[in-house]
Amino acid sequence: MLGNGSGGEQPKAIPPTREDHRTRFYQVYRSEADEYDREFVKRYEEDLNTTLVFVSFFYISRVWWMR
Amino acid sequence: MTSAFIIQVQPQLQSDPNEEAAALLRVLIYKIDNTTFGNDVPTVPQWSGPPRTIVQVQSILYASLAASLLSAFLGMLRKQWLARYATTDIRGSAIERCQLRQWKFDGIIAWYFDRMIESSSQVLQIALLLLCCGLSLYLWEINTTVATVILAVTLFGALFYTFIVFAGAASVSCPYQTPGAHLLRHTYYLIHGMTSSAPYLIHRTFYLVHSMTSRAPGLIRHIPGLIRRIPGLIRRIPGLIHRILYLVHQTPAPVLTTLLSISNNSVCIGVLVNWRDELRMLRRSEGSALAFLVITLLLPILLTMCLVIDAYFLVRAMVKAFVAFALPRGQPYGASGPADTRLAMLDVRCISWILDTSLDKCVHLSTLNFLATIPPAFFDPELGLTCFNILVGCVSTVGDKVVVTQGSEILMDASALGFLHVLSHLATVDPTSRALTDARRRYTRIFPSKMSLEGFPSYHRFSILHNLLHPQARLKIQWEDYDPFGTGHVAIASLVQFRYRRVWPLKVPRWALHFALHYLSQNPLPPPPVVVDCLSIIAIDLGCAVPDIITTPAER
Repeated sequence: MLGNGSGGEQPKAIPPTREDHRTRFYQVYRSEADEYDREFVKRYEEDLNTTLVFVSFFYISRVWWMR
Repeated sequence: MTSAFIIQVQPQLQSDPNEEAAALLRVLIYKIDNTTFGNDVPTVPQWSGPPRTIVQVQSILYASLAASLLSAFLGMLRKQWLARYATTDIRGSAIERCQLRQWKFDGIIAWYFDRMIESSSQVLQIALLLLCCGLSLYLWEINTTVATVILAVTLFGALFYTFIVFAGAASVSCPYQTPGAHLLRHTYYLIHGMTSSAPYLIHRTFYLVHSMTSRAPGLIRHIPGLIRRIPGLIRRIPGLIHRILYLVHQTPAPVLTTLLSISNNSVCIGVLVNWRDELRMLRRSEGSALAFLVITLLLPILLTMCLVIDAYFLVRAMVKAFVAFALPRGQPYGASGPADTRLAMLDVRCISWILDTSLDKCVHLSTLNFLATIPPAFFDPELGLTCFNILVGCVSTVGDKVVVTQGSEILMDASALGFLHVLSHLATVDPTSRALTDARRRYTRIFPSKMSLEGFPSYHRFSILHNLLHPQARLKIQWEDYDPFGTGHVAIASLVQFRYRRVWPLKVPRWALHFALHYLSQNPLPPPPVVVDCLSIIAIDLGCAVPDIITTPAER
């Protein structure tokens, strides 16, 4: 499972260069960061939606109360 | 979002035209026949401003309205900020976009984005509180029974919120956390810290005051003598200036320019350096009145002014440094600095973040592989500790034998390499860093000093680490089939230099010497920096004076 990252296991294979490691790392980084950011943004969006619902409820209740 | 409630109360702020018309009508009827109202003569009432309570109610309600508007505005801003964070830049390669994302993320940490988001909803709560207060005050004027209901609910809500704040402050695990609770807890810690150190501070202050007052009579006795000396001091200024000029003339020019650059272009030194020749001429013509005037009057004034300017720049630099130190936690790297430096820094930041965030072994492996290939710079101690933790997570000890967890061989190898890489940088930059001490302490706690590493995968890396980290380790390493790797030699050389340089009778450990000799005995000689490192290890063992850490990591 872990072998695919290091390469160079087969004989005569060219050892991975710095750029290969860099590309591989950033692929992994992107998938991790995407997942993390989705959760991050979702959390605050939900928080924000709660606030907005609260604001509108606040407003409607005031209007309704004075009818 | 204008509230109907305010519109309802609004007319009471102005005079009521209907009421006035009714009064006028009453006056008219009274004029026609004088019998309708009996004896009381109707008059047109003079409107004497709105009632005080209505003004108060209106102020509170408008404050509530403004606060809710403000919270809506903040919500809009928050939406924009979140959208800005979530959108990826269209330009740039995938790698650049990832680096940009890390940059933005570090900014979020540095500028307390989470706290800001949490606190912006507080404005809405304040608006709600204000509305309830205004409502109860208004209803109290109209009908006390209805007002009691509103007041009771408001009071209950306020009490409940206060209870929640205190509960959240008292226990971190309490699920009812609010920003107020956070603030309260930190204030408590601050005050607690201050009060616990207060007795010591008071004692020190008392001691200081006591020592000053006990010495005051002696000091006062000296003041007349000091005043008497001032004319003598003034008379000595020309001599002093002469001596400074002499010193400036005698110092070679390169020393002066170095001094100038060290002091960050101090104005004072700049004047002396730039006007060197003119000052020399002045010194030669010592007898003339002009020279006397310049040396006694102008030059001291000029130098004092320069000193003031220098002091200003110094204070400004200090304030700037303090602000940079105190304000954000971890400065986001600004636009300054060359581009490649910034990119290297971002690489390291990305690596640190992902090692801290992810628990996946595959992710760790590719990250560590990348870490071992980047030039050693900007590594922070935390990164070293993270690598060390991964390494420790892969191995365990059974008796005096070290075994690798099943399936983690490659990860262990990579983490040992990565840790050695970070260690080589840390050991060159700061050999006394906390990370090194921490890693040593943890290592000593986990592993015994004598252990057999026979047949251990990545035998060399681990034994080098063992000898570097364990204080009592004297592991004999077989160098025969040693495959030179990465920057291990830098770590060994730096640490050996640091530990054994100034303490000559203490010999360099044998294993390090063997390592150096093994390297030097290879047939195509290793690259020059490695040779320099090996030779310096041998020189330290022989007791020669080796200059300070020889080359910077970048040059290696």
